[in-house]
Amino acid sequence: MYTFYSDQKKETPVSSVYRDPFSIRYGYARANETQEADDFGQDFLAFEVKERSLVFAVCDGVSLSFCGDLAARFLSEELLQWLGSQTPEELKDESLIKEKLTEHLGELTAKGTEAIRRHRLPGSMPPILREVLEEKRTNGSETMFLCGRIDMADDITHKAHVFLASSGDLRLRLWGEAEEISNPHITSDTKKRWSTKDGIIGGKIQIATGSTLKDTRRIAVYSDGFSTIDGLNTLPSTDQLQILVKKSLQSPLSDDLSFLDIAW
Amino acid sequence: MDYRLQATQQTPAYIMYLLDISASMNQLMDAGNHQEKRRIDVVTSALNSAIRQMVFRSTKGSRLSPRYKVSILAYSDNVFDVLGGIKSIDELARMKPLDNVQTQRLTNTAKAFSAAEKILLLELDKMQDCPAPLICHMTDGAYTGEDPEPIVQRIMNLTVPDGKVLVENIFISDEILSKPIENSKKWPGIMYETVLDEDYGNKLKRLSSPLPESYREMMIETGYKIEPGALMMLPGTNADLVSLGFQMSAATPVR
Repeated sequence: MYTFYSDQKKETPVSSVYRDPFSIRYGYARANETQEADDFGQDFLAFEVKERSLVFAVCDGVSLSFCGDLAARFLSEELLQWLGSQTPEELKDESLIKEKLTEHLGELTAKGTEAIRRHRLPGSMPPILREVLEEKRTNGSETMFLCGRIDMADDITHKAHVFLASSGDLRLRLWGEAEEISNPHITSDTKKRWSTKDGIIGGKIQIATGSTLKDTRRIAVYSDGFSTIDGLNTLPSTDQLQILVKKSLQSPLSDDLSFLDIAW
Repeated sequence: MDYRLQATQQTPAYIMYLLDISASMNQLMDAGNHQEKRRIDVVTSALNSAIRQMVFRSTKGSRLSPRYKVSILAYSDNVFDVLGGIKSIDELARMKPLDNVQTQRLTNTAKAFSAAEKILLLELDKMQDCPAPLICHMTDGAYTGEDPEPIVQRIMNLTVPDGKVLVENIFISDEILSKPIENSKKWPGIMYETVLDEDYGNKLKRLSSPLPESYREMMIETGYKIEPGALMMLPGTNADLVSLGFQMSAATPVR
């Protein structure tokens, strides 16, 4: 088994790991201003490889909500657990699994709200900031997410059962044997997110599973902080990706950045 | 040039408030809930709400990211720099700037805009990658002394890559509109063609920038119905509209 959970107070340079049959590259960096303030990143990235199956979650906490980093971490951990508890067969039935995940995301609000309620704010801060944050606490912590599970089905043909679910503007790229595959099922939407108070808001979750992903051999998921790679047709080398991470962080609009690339 | 640049810690939005503190600001006005309050109290309360809105829009985790820079100039016969210079929102959050604002006598609006122009000319070079600065002017009556119009026109022609400097006017008056605005949430805004009942209102209309679409979108998101083509001018006939005016001033797109 191999597990990675991002440290929200530390950068993880773009790294690669091979756990048969998956080649994985991943990286995590906080926005420049967050690094300067030594604060928590609002993204969270987690994945786990177990036998011939991989589960992952990438979350982008909403910084205007109450401590979006909390929702991002909470939901990533919960999604990983939920994905690991499903069987590949269950994940193939799109409408059924959509209903099941939607229900689960609704049920998580009780636990999420409790986690938010328990969260202690720093002792020293201006009263107006404390008032604003307490007001935000009543409205909950929010995060966008994209999660999935890949189960190897055939080692010779490299076919796998792929399940993906999303709400928000995390970026998803898919490749087949040679070329990038268009992806009409999971699209970015900045209005959609999950909230500890209200569950899914801004619209229904998006699901892609079964035959729609049968030719997929590689997927990349990243947060909007790494939008600099949006226009690249192929993903560059690990070293080159790290250079692009540094370049992204130099922009005045730099944001937290999570990146995950899985090939099989 | 479309007012789309986002305010960030590295590229903060700059907002300058020009507050008329002439003697007439002691008059009472509709403060909602069948209450009346002094105009100056309605204004300081609305400005405090705008500062709170800026704080709301600047949180990242439990930290305050300095996405806004603010000046507050109060003017009457003279101009007073209430904050003692430009302050970032995290500095402003630690201050109580409006606790001791006292009304004085006259309304030397030209002097106030002249002071604003001086600050802008000093600062504009540093704001080339930032959202266009905004001056939010609040007054309750015609100016005394020199006509401010030429100065305001000069300010409105100052430009950064994001767009020209924005000027917003909140005009507190009971007589500016022939029909009262019943519900500020449904109000479409003042357009070029809107006829105002006061000459000074019409002058301020000329001295008000068109509301950028990015600001309008933000206002729509917070439940207002301002329509395309509206000017950055508010008839401060009640506390609700004064508050709307100050909320508008802080509607810069943020990261």
